[in-house]
Amino acid sequence: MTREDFSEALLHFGADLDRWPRPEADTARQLVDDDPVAARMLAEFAAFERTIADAVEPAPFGAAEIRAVLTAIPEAKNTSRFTQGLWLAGAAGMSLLSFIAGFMVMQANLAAQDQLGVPLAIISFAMGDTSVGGLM
Amino acid sequence: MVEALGDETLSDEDLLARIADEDRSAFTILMRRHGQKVRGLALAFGGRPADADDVTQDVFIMLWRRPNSWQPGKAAFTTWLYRVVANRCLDQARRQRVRRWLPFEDAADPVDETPSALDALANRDRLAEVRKMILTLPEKQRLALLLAVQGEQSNAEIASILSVSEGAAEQLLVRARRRLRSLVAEQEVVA
Repeated sequence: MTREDFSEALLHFGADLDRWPRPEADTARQLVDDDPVAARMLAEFAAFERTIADAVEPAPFGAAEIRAVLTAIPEAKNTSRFTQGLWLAGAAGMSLLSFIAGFMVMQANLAAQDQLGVPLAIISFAMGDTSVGGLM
Repeated sequence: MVEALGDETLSDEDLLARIADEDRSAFTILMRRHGQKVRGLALAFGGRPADADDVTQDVFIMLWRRPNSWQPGKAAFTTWLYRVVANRCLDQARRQRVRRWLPFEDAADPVDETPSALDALANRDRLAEVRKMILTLPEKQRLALLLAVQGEQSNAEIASILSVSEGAAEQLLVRARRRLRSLVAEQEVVA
């Protein structure tokens, strides 16, 4: 492994050689032992990673944060049940409206059937049925 | 919110089974165990505490409502949880991008730059600068880097979390580390 290979491998796997794939880690350890420049490269990369880790070190997630989530839960559950209830009420309402609409259409059709007699008789007569009874 | 002493040693799987029965103490233990990771990643990714709190709350409420979302055989709980957080972070970033184009955009919360006594310390300033540099990385590179550095996830785990191949995850890491190293080096030259 050359210094360039080592530098590239650091970018791929980071400064912790224990987390490298085994063959590459073994070769890198050999290089670091033999070459002070490679050893310095590793130390500098480790320092760079520590800086990043320090910069993004997470704040503790304590009682206040946990309480904030727990406080939101009843609302979440209530919201969920409320939403479910709303959907059920909506579905029931729509079913009722459909039923009423169907009923009204049926009534209208029944009422119109008396008026349909004439056009039906004309169509039947046109198709050659002369037994149109009371119409002719 | 009193937990039996032994409950702290329960596995994530056992805790989730209890959460399915609406056991709040199990839920509290799960939050105590993973809250720092969840909020830490969200905050380092987005840089705004209020947004990080939203993501954290969103993730844990989802876990409370649907504790069976995690399938134990498929991925480790932490890997799966990081995937959920990463997706929430990316969704939030997407929504913010859309809002920036809308005329009725709410004013974005500014990143907290209030000087404090601690920030006066040089090292704190330096770390604050590094945090800002991290925020300049493209989203997936940023997530990959944070998962490696903060979450201590392996390249294979990062690939699984971000739903990319291991090679692609490595490339995200390479680009993120290269870019950040160059930015940090520039800062140190200036300083």
